[in-house]
Amino acid sequence: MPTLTRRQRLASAHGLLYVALTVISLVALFPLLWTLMTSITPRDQIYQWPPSLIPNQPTAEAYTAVLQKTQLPRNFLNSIIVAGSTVALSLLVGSMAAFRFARGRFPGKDLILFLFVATIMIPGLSNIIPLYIIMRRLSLLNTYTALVLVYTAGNMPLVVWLLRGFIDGLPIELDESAVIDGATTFQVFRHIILPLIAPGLAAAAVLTFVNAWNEFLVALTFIQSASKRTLQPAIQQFVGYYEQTEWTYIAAATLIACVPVVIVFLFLQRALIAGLTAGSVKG
Amino acid sequence: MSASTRTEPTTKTRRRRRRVTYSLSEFLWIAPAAAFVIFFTFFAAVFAVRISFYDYSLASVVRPFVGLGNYIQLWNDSAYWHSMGLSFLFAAIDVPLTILIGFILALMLNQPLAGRSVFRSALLLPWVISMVIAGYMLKWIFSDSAGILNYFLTELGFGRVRWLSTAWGAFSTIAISHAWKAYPFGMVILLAGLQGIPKDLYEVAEIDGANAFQRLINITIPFLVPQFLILFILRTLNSFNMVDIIFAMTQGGPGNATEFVSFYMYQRAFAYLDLGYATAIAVTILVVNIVLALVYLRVLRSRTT
Repeated sequence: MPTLTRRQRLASAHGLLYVALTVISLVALFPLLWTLMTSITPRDQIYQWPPSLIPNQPTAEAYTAVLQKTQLPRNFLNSIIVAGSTVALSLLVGSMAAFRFARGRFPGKDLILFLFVATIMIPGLSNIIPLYIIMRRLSLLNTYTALVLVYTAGNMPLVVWLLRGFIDGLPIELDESAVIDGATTFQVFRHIILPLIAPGLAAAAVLTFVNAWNEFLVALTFIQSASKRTLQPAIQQFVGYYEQTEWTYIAAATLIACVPVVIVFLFLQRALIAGLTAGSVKG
Repeated sequence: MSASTRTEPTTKTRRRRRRVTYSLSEFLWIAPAAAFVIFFTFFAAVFAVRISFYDYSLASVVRPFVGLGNYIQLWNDSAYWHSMGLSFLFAAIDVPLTILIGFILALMLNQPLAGRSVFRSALLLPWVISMVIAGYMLKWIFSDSAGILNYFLTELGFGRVRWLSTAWGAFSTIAISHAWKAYPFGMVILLAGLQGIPKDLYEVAEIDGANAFQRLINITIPFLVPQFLILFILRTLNSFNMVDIIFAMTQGGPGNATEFVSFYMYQRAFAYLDLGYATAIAVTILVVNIVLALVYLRVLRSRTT
């Protein structure tokens, strides 16, 4: 039996690793690929058995039907409005607080910061009923505002923690020399801190966008009218309507609903990973 | 840092006044963020406790105070205990499973392979897909009659599995589907942790004759303890509060086989409009979460001191 050199052993181990990673990646991507295949299958072939893995007469029929015959484009726009507003508000409010948590000296700073971060332990689910009652009293049910406020609050601990970490990484001499030159606190914030934490802002923006875009339960509960519904609960209603008959429509609708987050994922993956890892490693 | 370091105050009163106004302006910077957290998170949680003492129905204008009535009802509600048990069972399976998958994949991705960022992207992608949409995509794959999975299984000679129409089938389907959505988070966290371990430690261990398994047990895992702890707590909270995927895939069924406590609470609130009782359930979920969080903090603190 020939003995392998260390180099050969390493090469064969790497070969195995490639095979394993390829197989696992295909399994991980399979639900998306299969949904894509389903969405371009002609409607009358959808229950054909055995199923054909790649449809022989691909069609965009489901996409045109979903975009023209349903309210999905409206729901898509609603999601853009809500997720976009959530990102803007979370970053504005969160970066201000993160700035003073990093640079300020005031009594109780550490305790307040701890309480901020501790709210991660209070999950949105157990607050959904009190928030529903509060929004009802404030006459905010069935408005985008209600969603934006609740999403911003939910993202606040993450955004503050993340951005504070980025500001902590900047040398304090930057602020001090600006102050000596006569800059106000606001000017330091606006012209020195914010430009330098752009990667942190990108990471926070990506995370809040994905969270807001994908949120389902609060949107389902707070929004009643079909024209104001965001995509996730709209898809649920949509499936309830088409489930028995039109899986090609459902496949097309779910893929359309993934487009923004997949684009964000493809182009801002580095920021996403930075946010995920910085946001979770605390203590 | 501050305006007060620029000029030296001449008297103590001036210094004190300056410090007070300084603190005030600090709080103004933080106030908007604090308002969000206080109102929508803390106050809402306190308000929840209050509602749980009332017979608060959306269908009725009269909402009498019932004290511990809702909790007594809950104590005798077998559907509640069933749902709580299911949630614990689910967390006990889902949390270790997803962390283990994430860990194995992180170890694989940490090898010096050309093109590993392509694999990382592919394996991370499920994280950005929403729970509801993931649920529908997988429901079509797991479909008893027309699903591609049953097609593969029959081709391989296993026969059809009644994934969605039997109790254990539905529970497993939910567990597998949720794992598909949840493993990337652990993978990313652990991969970042792995990349923070000094390389020379491994070299020294290798020279000392430690094999790959010994290096894993004695270097890698001890270094990743903080990441594992954080993952355990965040993943436990996440799996306990999981509800979207149930809406998409099973609606709690068949029967009540996937009626997790999160879903049961939501149904009591918004299908039965019984907000008081549902909030009592929510409070128990919150207590479970806080207890788990405290255990986590205790473990973390005892480790650092």
